[in-house]
Amino acid sequence: MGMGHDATRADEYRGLFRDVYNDAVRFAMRRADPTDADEAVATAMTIAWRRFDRAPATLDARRAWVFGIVRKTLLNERRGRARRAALEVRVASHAELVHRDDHSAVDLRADLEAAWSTLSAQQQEALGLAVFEQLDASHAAKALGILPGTYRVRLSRARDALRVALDERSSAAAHTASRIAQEAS
Amino acid sequence: MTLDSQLRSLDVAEGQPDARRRARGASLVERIVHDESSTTSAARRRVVWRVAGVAAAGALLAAGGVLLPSALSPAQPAVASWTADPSAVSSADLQVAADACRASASPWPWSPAMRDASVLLAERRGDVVGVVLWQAEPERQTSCIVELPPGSSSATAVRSAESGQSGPALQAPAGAFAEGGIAQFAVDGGDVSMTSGSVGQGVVAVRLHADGITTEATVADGRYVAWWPGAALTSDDEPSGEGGPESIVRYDLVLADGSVVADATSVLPD
Repeated sequence: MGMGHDATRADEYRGLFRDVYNDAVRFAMRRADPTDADEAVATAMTIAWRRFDRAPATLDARRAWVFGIVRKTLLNERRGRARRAALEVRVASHAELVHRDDHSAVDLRADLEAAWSTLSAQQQEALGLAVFEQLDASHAAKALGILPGTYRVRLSRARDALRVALDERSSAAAHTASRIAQEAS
Repeated sequence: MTLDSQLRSLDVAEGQPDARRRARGASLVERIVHDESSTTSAARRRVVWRVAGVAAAGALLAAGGVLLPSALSPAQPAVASWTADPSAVSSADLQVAADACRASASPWPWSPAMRDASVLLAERRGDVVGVVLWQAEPERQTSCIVELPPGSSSATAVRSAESGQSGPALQAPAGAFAEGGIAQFAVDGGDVSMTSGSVGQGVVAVRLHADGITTEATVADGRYVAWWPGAALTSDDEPSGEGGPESIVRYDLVLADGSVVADATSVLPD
């Protein structure tokens, strides 16, 4: 059966693992609770071993390749309505951030968090790959299994949607501030 | 501050993974390269869902999805000894194979050991034994292909795949079958697949078709098992984001009255 240990292949795989594991964990944690994230990464890294012969050569391509496997693992483990949750990218909540920073920045980020939550899962995913995983369009597209042009369209629409949602919150806040000022006068 | 950098300040996974995760990673990589186990948690969950009657259309136990030519290469001498008709495993060989399988199925960081697992079914094809182990508590099934020429005192290579519930609890109604776990292993550039499941009363033989191969499964005590040198799952090398690999295995059932149910459909157990 020739299944003996292939030291060279194992060493090369260890190199890939070292390069991508931490990023894969972070990728999964943005999309799943810690337990599911750990399991998905373990599953994905096992799949990466089995498919290692076809792993891409460059670091970003390898990250995108592994992200794609993690993503698919999460999708496979969630069926039906829960699948949408597998695509959503979580961001820190207002409460989580209070300890991190000053309160004016927290207000801004609370707006951003609220605006983020209005995005569709697909928009969050497109934007998340660019912002959090910091993949370029070709690699992000690879992770999603779509064409780069399709990804660019999704990313552009996601950015637009986020800006619109932020503007709407700003307008609402300004309106509220104006009303409060009028009532106070 | 750009919008992107503001967003990055909301990252729930900022910084490096904690020490526990780093340790888990160090342990995981060594387990993967040393054990060459094909276990996937996705596979385990799918079995549980199927037993629970919530299986998505076409969803099967899938331990991977590499689809390569199934032709046997000279680098796979043991696999090349495969025979379309299975033979029985001697009790001495079965003990060696089961021990090797139990050892191979040693736990992932989160999974329990299989030391108490008993043999559910086994078959020999050439120099390779396929064995299915089952452990009641916690309920867990492990399928292994073990390179073990007849009479050998030790196995020379093992591949294993774990799944959740599909052991004796999974029963098929009379004249029907319930597809159980499907594992696909990458072996030196080719695929080797294994599947097991249950057959109802009156089913005397199961014939499987996959990847250009037709083979008779071993059927005993209401269960079937077969391994073959080829794929069992659709190709899945490019992440598409839609679904996972699907089974390409087709089944013919031979009933006690001699009739054949061609291209039989698996039933879900009660």
